[in-house]
Formats: sequence, structure tokens, C-alpha cells
Amino acid sequence: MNAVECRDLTKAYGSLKAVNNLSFVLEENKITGLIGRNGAGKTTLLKVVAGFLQKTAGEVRVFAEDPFNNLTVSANAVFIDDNMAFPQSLCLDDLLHAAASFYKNWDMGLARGMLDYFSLNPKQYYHRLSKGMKSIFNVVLGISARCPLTIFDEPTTGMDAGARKDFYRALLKDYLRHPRTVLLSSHLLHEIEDILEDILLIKEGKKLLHMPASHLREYALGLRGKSSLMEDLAKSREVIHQYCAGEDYAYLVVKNDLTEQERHQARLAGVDITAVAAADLCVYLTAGKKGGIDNVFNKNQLV
Amino acid sequence: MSLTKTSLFNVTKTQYQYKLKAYIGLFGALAAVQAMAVLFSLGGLDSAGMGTSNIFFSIKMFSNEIIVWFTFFWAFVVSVILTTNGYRDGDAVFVSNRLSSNLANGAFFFTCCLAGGLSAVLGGVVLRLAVFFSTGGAGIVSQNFFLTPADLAAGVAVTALYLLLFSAAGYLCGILAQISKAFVVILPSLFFGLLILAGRDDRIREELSQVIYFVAQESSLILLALKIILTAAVLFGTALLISNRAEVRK
Repeated sequence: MNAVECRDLTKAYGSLKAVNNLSFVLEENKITGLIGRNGAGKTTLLKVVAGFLQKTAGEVRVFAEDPFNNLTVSANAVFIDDNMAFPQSLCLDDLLHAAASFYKNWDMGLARGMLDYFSLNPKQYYHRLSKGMKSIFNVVLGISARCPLTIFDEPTTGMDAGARKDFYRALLKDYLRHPRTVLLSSHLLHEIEDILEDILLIKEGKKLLHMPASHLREYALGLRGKSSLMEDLAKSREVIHQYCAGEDYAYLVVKNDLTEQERHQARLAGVDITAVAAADLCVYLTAGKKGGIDNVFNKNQLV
Repeated sequence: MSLTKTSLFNVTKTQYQYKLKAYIGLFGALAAVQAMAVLFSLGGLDSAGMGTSNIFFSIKMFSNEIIVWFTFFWAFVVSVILTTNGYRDGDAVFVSNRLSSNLANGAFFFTCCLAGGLSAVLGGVVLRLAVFFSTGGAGIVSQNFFLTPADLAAGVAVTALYLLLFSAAGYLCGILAQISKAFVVILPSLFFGLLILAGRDDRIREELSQVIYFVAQESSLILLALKIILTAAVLFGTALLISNRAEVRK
């Protein structure tokens, strides 16, 4: 059984389609990263999958059921974002107990241990915590709930670099002991790349690509060299990104479909061939306008 | 990881228990509201005096009416609060669906009604004690001063029933306001508009009175209970139907 299935899923707010004709399948017990720029529709998609929002069109299945307003899905899914509405009257320890009463697989030892590790006082109140500390408590809850579908929507907001690293490590460790389907959205792909098995990249509510993270690392090649050489190489090839440094020096990112011979020739002609980091590639793929932010400044100078 | 099965009853029960702990502050508010009402009641509701040149006497009436009205207001507000975004999204943090949330809310405000009914009637006892110690026992007309356990129980039951009516009405108002913000304006306008109309037009006053008398002028406890529980069930059921497909954590 697949954990999540979407077919032509659309979620519209008025005329704006936050999720637009999206189709994908998440297999069980995999960690998938949902990557996209601000406003790409990540949060909306996750909330539809979690059953909070109702789809506008298409089909969505979580554990083979329609997630919206569904008790079984709710019992088997946990959704963590930076907007958790905890009551002010309960301290962290009370909240852990509450979570334990709701989630059957809850691991109290793990939750307490992590609170202790991150120096969160169990008698502290949630609304008095700093932003980063709140995020830490949220992810502790998300990991300890051990839900078959665990959704993190930008979970590391406000966390310092150390805490973020610890969170990724904790998630991975607990995942290895108790495999589950994890859906993790972030725009900091370079940080989470190592723990992801699959990457689902979306832009303006549409799927750009969905593939194993290892494939994404080899998806494209960076070519650096003289502009004249680059023009030849760019011809008849899908150019993902280009950048001109000075008059006659260019950097091209193209789909990795060069034959061994072509590479060899390019190298001989003085073209530098490099791998493209998955995080950079995602930025290129989701770039809004050709030329990037530089264009804005260039245009301004002309006026 | 294998899926866990759960039932509506279990989830509702867990949510209800969670709400009792999480919303304990609402009971604190009840205590504060009633303490204030007791203070207001200490002056007496009504007084009359008469006498000749030699003898003069005055009568002062004390009642827990203010306490009860304050409690009605509290119950109404609590029910509205239960439907607001923060509380609704608080449910969705843990396991829930709209039906379980609504049922747990219903169970919660039912508990509020029992607690409110009991404490409002006991507030009347506090008032009696206060009057006794401030005026001295001698001037007190003993009729109605002493409460039999049966009176006490009937008082609690009737107050709790009326509280249930206010709670269910508050809950429906809150849910309507959730569906469209327009109701935040429409509902109070309707309420005060009707009040003003009733003040001007005898016919409307007459008809409104009939509606109110349906629950206010019932002398049989069993009939009253039936009428109120039915009305509350209709109000709550409507709220449940309206909100059952609403989105959460938007």
C-alpha cells in the first residue's frame, strides 16, 4: 500500500490555484523532501494530505482513504509546523502526556530524553518559549509520536544550526529504528539532502520533478568556459540555468545527457565540467524569471 | 509501521479529558464571575419600607438571581470561545476530526453547565451566610432562607438546564461566526433589533414572549427538562451539521 497518492490534485483559494494538478505517489516508509520556493504551495499540499484542508479537484489518498476530516488518517498522521495551537494552561510535560493519550505509538522515554538533551524544562510553558525552542518542542513531539505518516512543514524555523543538525540526526535515528513515512518540507535543501531518500520539487503548485535524491545529484552538469564554446554546447540541449561572468565567460547548467565522447571533447576544448549540488539545482529549476535577481538591477541601471 | 485503529468514542473521550485539563482557566473565570455576582448581590435586589410616626420597618430582598444571570452569560461566552480559531486548531494538533471535536466540545460545555449550575446555587448559600452574618439572624424572614436538599437539587437542575440552553445557543452563534464573519455583525444586530422592536410594538413583544415562555414558564421539572434538552439538541445539532465539513488549521 502506498502512504500517499495524489492524482490531478488541485486546491484553489478563489482563483489562485495553490496546488495545481499535482500527481505523485509516496511509497511507505520513505523520507521525502518537499522542496519549493516561498509560495510554491508546499504548506497547502501538506495540509491537504494531513486532512485539514479539502481538495478542490482531483484525488488524494492517504493510506488508501480520503484524508479530509478522517479519523483514521488523523490517528496515524502527525503534522508539525511553527503554528501549533497549544493551550496556555499546560506545561510541556502536560503536553507530552496529552500527546501520549492521543498517539498509540508514543514513546515517552524518547520525548523526555530529547527535552532533557535540548535543555527544555518540562515545567516550562509553551507560550513562554523562544521561537527556536518552540520549534524544538514541536519536532520532539513529531518524532516521539511515531506516526506512520509524519509531516514536518518547515520544522526548523528559528532553530540554530546546532539544533537543526541534532533534529535531522534524531529524525534519522528514530526513523531507522521505527521506519515510517516522513514528509519534510524545507527550502534549506542542502541541510536535509543527506537524510532524504526522495525529493519532490514543486513550483507554483505544479510538480517539477520527483525522484530519488541520489538521481537529483546527477541530474545536471555545470559547464564553465568561454562564451563562444558555451553557445555550441547550449544548442539542442535543455539549459536549466546560465550565468555570464564578464564579456566572454559563461556558466551553464544543462541536463546531464552528454555522451562520454561529448564530455571528452568539451574538456579538450577547455570547458570545466562540474557536478551541480542538488540544492543549487533546485534553485535554478524553480527560478522565477530568466536572469535572476541580477536582471532587476541591470534594468534599473539602464533607466 | 502498522496503522492504528481508533474509534470515534475513544477519540472523543480523549479529547474531552484533554479539554478539561487544557481549559481549566475557563472554570477560573467562572469563579471570578460568580464572586463578582455575589458582591453585587450583597446590596439586595429589592427593598421596601413603610411605617407610621412610631413604627418603621423595611424589607430587603436578597436573591441569587444576579449570580445565575452572570453564570448564564459565562456559559454563553465559554461556548462561543470553544468555537474560535485557536481552540478549533488546538483540537487539530492532536488526533481529531470535526465530529469528534464538536462532540468533545458538547461534552465539555455540558460539564460547564453542571459546574455552573451547582456553583450558582451554592453562591446563593454563600449569599445567605453573608446576609446572616452582616444583619444578624434576628431580622431574617426564615421562609425561603433555609434550603432543603430537595430545593437545592431542584435549583441545581433547573439552573444547569437553562445554562445548557445558553451554551447550545452560544455554540451555534460561534459556529455561525466561524462560517462567515458577517454573522459577527448580523447576530448582535438581530438580537438588539428585536429588543428595540419589542419595546415599540406590542404584537412583536407578545410573540417574543410566547417563545420565551415556552421555556421560562414551565412549572413541571420533567417537561422543562424535555423542552430544554430538545431545544439545545436542535441548536447543537445544527451547529454540528454546519461545521462538519469545515477546514481547520487554515
